[in-house]
Amino acid sequence: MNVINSNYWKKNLVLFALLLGLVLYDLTLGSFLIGFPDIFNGVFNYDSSSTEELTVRIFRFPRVVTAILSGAALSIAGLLMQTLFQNPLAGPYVLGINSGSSLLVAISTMSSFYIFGSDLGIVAAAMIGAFGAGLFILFCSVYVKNKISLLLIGIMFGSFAGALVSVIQAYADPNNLKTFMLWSFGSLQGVAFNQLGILALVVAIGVFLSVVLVKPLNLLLLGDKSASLLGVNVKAIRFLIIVATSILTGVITAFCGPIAFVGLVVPNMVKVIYKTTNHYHLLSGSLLGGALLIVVCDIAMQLLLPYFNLPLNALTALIGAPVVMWIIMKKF
Amino acid sequence: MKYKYLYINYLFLFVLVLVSVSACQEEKNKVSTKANSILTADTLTNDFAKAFQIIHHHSFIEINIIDPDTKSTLNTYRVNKSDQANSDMFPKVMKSVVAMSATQVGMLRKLGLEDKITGVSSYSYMCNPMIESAVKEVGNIGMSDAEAFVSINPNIILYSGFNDNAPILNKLAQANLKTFKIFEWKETHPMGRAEWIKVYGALFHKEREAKLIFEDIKAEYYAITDKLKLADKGPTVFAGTYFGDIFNVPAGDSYMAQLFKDANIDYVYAKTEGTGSLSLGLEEVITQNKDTEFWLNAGASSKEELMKQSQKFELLESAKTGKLYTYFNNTNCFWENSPIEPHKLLEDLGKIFHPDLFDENELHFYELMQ
Amino acid sequence: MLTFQDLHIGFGVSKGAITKIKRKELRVLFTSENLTFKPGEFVAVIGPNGSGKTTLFNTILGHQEPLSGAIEIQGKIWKDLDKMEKAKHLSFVPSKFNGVDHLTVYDLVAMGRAPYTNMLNKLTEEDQLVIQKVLVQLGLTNFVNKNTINLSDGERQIAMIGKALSQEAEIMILDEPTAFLDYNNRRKVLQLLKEIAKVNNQIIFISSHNLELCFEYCSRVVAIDANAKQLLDFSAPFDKEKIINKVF
Repeated sequence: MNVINSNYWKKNLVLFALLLGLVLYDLTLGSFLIGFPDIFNGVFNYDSSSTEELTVRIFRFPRVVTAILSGAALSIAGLLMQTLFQNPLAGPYVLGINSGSSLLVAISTMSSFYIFGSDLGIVAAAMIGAFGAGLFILFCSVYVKNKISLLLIGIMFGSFAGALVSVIQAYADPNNLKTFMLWSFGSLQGVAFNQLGILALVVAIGVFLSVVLVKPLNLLLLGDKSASLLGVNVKAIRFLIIVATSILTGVITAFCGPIAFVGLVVPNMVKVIYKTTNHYHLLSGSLLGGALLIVVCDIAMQLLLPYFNLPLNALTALIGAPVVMWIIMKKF
Repeated sequence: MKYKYLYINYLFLFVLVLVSVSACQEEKNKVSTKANSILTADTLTNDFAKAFQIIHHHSFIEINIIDPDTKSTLNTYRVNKSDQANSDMFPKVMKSVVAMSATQVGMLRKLGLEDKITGVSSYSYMCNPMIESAVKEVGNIGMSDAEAFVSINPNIILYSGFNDNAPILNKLAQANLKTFKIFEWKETHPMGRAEWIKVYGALFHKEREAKLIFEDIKAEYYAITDKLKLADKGPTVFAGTYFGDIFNVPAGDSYMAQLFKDANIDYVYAKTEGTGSLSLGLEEVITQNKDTEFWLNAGASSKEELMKQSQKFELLESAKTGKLYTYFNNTNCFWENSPIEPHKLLEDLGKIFHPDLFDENELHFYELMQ
Repeated sequence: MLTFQDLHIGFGVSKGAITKIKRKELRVLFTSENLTFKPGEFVAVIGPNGSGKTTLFNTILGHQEPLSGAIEIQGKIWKDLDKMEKAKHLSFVPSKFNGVDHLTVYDLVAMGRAPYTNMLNKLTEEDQLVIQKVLVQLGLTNFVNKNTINLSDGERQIAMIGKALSQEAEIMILDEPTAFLDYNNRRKVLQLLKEIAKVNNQIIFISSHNLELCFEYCSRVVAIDANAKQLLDFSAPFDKEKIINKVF
């Protein structure tokens, strides 16, 4: 097996072409159709007096780029978790990172507990919550020997945070409750054009870290002991995997709210399509596959807009749940 | 052979019974149609309201609650006119009232009936403070506890009917507590909503006062409409609240839109269909209202809070110039008083959009967002 | 070359810095005099259950520390070597491998090259040559692209040995390699190991309960006398009766 194998690159190319095509299509969709010249100008030769270009720059382009970044980031995070815990049902939220986000967003929207001052935006609250949860898990990972224990701690933390959120919800004003619930539906429209750079940068850092981890990830497949005997510092690698996951999951949850299923479904699909255990290919597959999935969901949302307003999480679950069921039935 | 005859006998008897029963029914029908003809004479016609119908009978008043969309009668209530007690009807004299929404409190107050209020859903929804010892909190209808109602033991519980499946309604019926659906919010005409004061009049035997109040309001309302009709169209306006990628915008046939029409306002969505709200995407609303001059009813209490809802509001002309008017800062008084004082609401709109037609521009409900 | 120096094997040593727990009692399982193992030797470690075979292997592998004494490889003290270095000197084959989906035999053997490859796990010409050599030596060339999940137990075990071999480590440790194999495969595997020790000039350690096969194939037997708590050393030819009586 070569690292560079033409079969895999062919698949990558197909996925990339598909992604590119769907992205361009998605950019035309919205409350009215916009043609390609305007799309091009909206991004590169911006003239704010044209309504079409304005729409592209302010609404369409950020929406579609966010779709790509969120799909890619969450899928990669899911892949990392599935390899770390040797479990195809692990997802980016299994460590409770988005529970931390939810908790802080719940506090900042629904309670009168303005710890950080009532100016705290939802994005900042979500970010702090995610990284706080990440730090907690990192701290535990240093002291906990067994990774199953770590998984359980993550799940317990998630439950605990979830319970606190329920309590806050019970006492919330109906308007604030609605705001929180709408955040929890997930949205691709919350990112402004000038924030795309930061989002892309943070996601890139997470992806870069994952690439660096390709070799140890491959070796972890044989179990911790074998990997350790092949020269892998299992504890350090575990630490880095959690850091990468926290970065990828945290930034996406902060800007888009929690998006379910992508991180769980895409890596499994990629393994079936690419038929390899080499994370070098699985990473690129997850990146493209994840972006593809969310872009498809966005296209569906835009097409359905005149009839229903389906939240993002509903679509990812509608598409994701049957796929997960199929995976389980096939494997076990 | 024998059995065959027996069978025929039974059949004959059966037919006989059937005929006599149907004859009786016919009699009854004849009687009730007669009664109906008496009744129809006593059915009060409404000027604007479509969701209620008051019919005077000899010993009681019948109030029907109607769904304006399907025209079907949802509830029928009876209010006793005689002193003879009747457990199916609301008593002639009612001393204790639970009002679940602020609007109901407003209308009761207008008729001078606020002393009868013994329960509200929450003090925080009230425009004027309540005496806590006299008036208890019972919670929202979705989440309230039946025991709170039982301890008050009111003669009547007014509720809005938003949530007709709330389990509490069953429990209240079991506890023999009577509920009354106040459907005034279903009216799409401001005067239709105000006309519901007649329902309160019927319930509490103050029909004459109610009619007078209504006529007064009608006169003032139309005086203002006539005044405003003469003015130019005025600046462009859009209205709506934003929640999670979706803008809820009053549709062309809704209550708000009717107010805008009466106030002679150039409402951007006036030509849309529907009696409720339209759910429009953020992209659509912002691109369509980039140049609209005013934004009414934005869902925030300050400009800063509004901008936090979405960075993209900065593109709106109305946000840039600050022409944002809302009642968000005193929703309690808005909901309590505006249904029974639509003329004041209309006047507010007139003062905002046609200021030259008014001497002073103090607003009752609306406020410029700071 | 592997040496044991005045080794005391057991457990109870608290590993890691921060422990507020009372120091456990040190429990010595056995001691060993200075022993030297040379390349080419095929050594079996035998002893009753609980005598310390697993602990000995764990100590050699670096999962545990000896209670006292030292293990040296090529003159370097074992516990001072870093992980990568250890991987170049020592390889390990577990007793059972269930296969990983989509992992081919080639991939598995290639994993053994990990201590030598770069960050992206790129296989150089040299790496590929080594892998080829191992595949040929073990007769795996027909299975190269087969999914490890679809192999038989015997084939999997050999493939795992292949991974250990491609590490090019002087020392290979196998923990009860024949425990899950059938009669034919057992002999096959042990024959293979005997040849590998000679041909590749490696030291191969196995632990096993199958004394007959150990006596037949191994060049040296190291036995744990649980009563005397001592490590006994025997070279071929073996006096089976004597050894069994002493140890069991």
